[in-house]
Amino acid sequence: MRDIINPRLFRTLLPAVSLAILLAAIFYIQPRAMSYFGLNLMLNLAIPIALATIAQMFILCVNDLDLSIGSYVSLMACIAATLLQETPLLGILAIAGCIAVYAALGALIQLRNLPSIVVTLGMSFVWLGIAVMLLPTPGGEAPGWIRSLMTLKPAYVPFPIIASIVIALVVHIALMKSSYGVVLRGAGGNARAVERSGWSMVRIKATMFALAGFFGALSGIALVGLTTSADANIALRYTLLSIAGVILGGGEFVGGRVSPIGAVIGAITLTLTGSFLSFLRLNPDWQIGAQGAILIIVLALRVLINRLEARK
Amino acid sequence: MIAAIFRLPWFWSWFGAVLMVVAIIAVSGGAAGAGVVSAALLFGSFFVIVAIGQMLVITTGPGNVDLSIPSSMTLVATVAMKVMDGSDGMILVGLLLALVLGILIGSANYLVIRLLNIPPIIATLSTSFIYQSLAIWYNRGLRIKPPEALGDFATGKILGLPYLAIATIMLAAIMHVVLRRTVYGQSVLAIGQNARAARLAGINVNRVRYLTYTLCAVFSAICGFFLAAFSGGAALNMGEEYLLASIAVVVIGGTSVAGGFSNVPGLWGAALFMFLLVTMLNTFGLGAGPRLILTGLIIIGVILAASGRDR
Amino acid sequence: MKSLTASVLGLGVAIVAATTVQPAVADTSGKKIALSNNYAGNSWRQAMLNSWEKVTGEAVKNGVVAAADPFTTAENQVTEQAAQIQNLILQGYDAIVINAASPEGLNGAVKEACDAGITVVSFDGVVTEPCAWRIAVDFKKMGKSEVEYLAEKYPDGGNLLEIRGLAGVFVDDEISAGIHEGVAESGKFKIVGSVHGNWAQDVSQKAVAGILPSLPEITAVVTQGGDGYGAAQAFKAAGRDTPTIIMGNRHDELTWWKEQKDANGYETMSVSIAPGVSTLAFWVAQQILDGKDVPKDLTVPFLRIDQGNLEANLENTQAGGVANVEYSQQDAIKVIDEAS
Repeated sequence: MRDIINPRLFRTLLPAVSLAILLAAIFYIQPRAMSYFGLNLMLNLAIPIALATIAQMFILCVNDLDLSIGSYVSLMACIAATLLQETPLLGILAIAGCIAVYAALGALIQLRNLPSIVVTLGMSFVWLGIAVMLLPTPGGEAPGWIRSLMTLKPAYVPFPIIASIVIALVVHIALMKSSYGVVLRGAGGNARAVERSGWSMVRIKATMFALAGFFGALSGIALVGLTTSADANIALRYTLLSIAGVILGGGEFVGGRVSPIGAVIGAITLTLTGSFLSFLRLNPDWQIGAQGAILIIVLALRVLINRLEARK
Repeated sequence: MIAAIFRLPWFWSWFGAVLMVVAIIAVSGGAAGAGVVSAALLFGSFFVIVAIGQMLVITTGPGNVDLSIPSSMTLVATVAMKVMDGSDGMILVGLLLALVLGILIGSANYLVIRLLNIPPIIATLSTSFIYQSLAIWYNRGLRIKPPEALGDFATGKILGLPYLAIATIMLAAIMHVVLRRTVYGQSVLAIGQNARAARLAGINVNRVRYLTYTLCAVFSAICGFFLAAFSGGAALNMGEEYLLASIAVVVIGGTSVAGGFSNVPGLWGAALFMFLLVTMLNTFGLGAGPRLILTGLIIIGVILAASGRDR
Repeated sequence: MKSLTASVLGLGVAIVAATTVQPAVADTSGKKIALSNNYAGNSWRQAMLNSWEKVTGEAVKNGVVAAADPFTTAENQVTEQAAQIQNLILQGYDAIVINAASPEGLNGAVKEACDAGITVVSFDGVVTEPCAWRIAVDFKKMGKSEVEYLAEKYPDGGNLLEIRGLAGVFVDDEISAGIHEGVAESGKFKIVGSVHGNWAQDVSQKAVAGILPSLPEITAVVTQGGDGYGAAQAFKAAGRDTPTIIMGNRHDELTWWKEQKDANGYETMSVSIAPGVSTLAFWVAQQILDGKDVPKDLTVPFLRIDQGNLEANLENTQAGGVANVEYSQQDAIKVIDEAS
């Protein structure tokens, strides 16, 4: 039993270690960051990224890849800032409709054995197109309740930290501990075995894609709560960020090996990387390159620790 | 017989391309069609050059994709244009330099993937930031004109056929043969189908993957070099649209993203299709929103039509 | 309007010639100003950063301010810039000068900055958050002036091809709205084709080459800057007569125009935004920190080049760069005084 638990535990521990190192470096360079105010400022934009990363994780879990999550989150932000604000019912319907499209995509990919990369690449244009039509120029306004939720200032612990822990734990319990969660993950590891024991792969894929659509919607809503208004291009970057976040968090591209806690930590690490670089005050020529270098270093660290562990 | 044609992996991309031409001619007349096809051949060439590299990478198996193509193009073009500094005598030096830089970039990419054991998608994303920085640092976005003879070659035509398109068709033909007939080509396919089996069969998997990433970077370098020559100089954002386009062209062209199967003729069909699709939607005078939506739906439609028949 | 632009232009050229910065108004010598920039990937942005470095470097040396650090995000994304601004707040800057990725998307972060007592000045890409200052270019007027110029040149009107920028970006919408307004008012032009060139020369060239065969004869091409040379190349490649192409301020565009002008008397005009507007924003921020009462909305004229002053502008443009105007502290004070 212990042998089964340990590697998994270790996989969740590694991302946490790199996060801790990064945090220590930030506090060293910029002591001002080590405060309620500082943590809040550095981390609040990590919430939508963490949610998008979770969405991507569901897709990666069934061996697919979602190249449309960025434009989908943008669309969700646009809907939240327009329809959801003006006519809440219509807004909820629109979001539900988009989630249904996600589920249908999952089913379609499974039924026709399509490459998810291309289908989602195509969908990224579709989502963006709808977003541009909905909000031709940036604007809209976040509904008040979202705004007040995202700017909540609870005592002692900054809101972004509480939110991250809640997101990580809820998904962890649902996906890693529940019996249906085990089936869902198993579909990525060994689809044939899951199918043989009577589960429908089409339904599993549809569920996973719908979950991705749901968390993508949450991400868009959270984002618009922070930015107060939306823009059709607002979250395009989330596509690559979410993939990087899952990988940083110890997930892998194949085999249903993912970790919700790791994914959230990965998303936070990515966000803090930006803060770290900004605190370093690099020459502008190298600010972009340094971002790449940090990604490489953090991942290399993971390999190093992995190797040391293997040697023991 | 007809069913057999439908099953050809390159059929649907070519079918799509022809359909676009028909639609354009229907709207604006036959003379327009000829002009559009000539333009499509030219701009399609740039897509095809990078797509060949991307295809090789994607063929080596799931998770393999090169995201550093745009910034490699930018870096190589920036350095080459500055070194040539508009002088015809330096063209050969510039081209050689571009190729060497391509080899260096490919090697760096593979080094990060192999030594640090980082998934290629993240590794090439990270290195792409570094290349972009290098390009900014090297020339701060200043635009230097290509040598005149090089510019003339890149924009030149014979009988309505652009020189570049002819060269790219030859390049595609060579790569087609390389994939089908050489040990390297067969190894790429074998690794994509099953890396472990390929290793057991005595294929040096690491060497083949290294060669693949290097070839991909070299093709990006060639594309960047000629794109800068064609458009009158290198720009820092010149490669941007080639990231998603290279992936789309490869997959619409009939190459399997699961790896182990590639298709060169399909690349041309897909490249023409992608260019003509945007042109057609422009010709119809649609707004940006509907244009984006249609682009997406048509891409999905093509992949649906192409993959529904076999397997 | 024309005379106003011309006078500012003349002023700007004079400033570039003699960059003398008045030493030290002691009040702001301890203040730190940051530049938050969302994109560095084209020659305009590089010129903007260069101007910033040149002018603020001098200002820091002379003790006018303590620091003026530029920051650029890795990708041109609202979310990255919002995070960047929040990081700048943490670093204790007294003022943040922003070229924003989106006029609305950064409002949350800008509000945080204002709440922390930081002066926020936005320029070029301005933000709508009321607590921030705006140094805006009248993009709509810029687009309209193109059509007005054409209406004068072609009393009989004709067909126009429009090259737009990046879909979904407000600058693109504003300029395009101005162009369409101008077309509607003149009543004699017809926009027969419209493509998105993403403000990149090669993308424009491709888009124009694609649509050109299906278009009737084109009288003029209305653009947003950075795409004129690409359009010219596309017309040449298609073997069609070169129409009047409105130019931007990039060196290759101006050089091409000059070549055509010398060869066959080609006539056109150029409208653009001088990247040196970043330095105006810097001085405005400095003035606000100095305690000066500055109105929230300032307007900066766009840079217009005509047949007559083409040579002078071309001479002042770095090869491969863009035509530019840099501002001094006096210029900023003048702009502020005119507005208040």
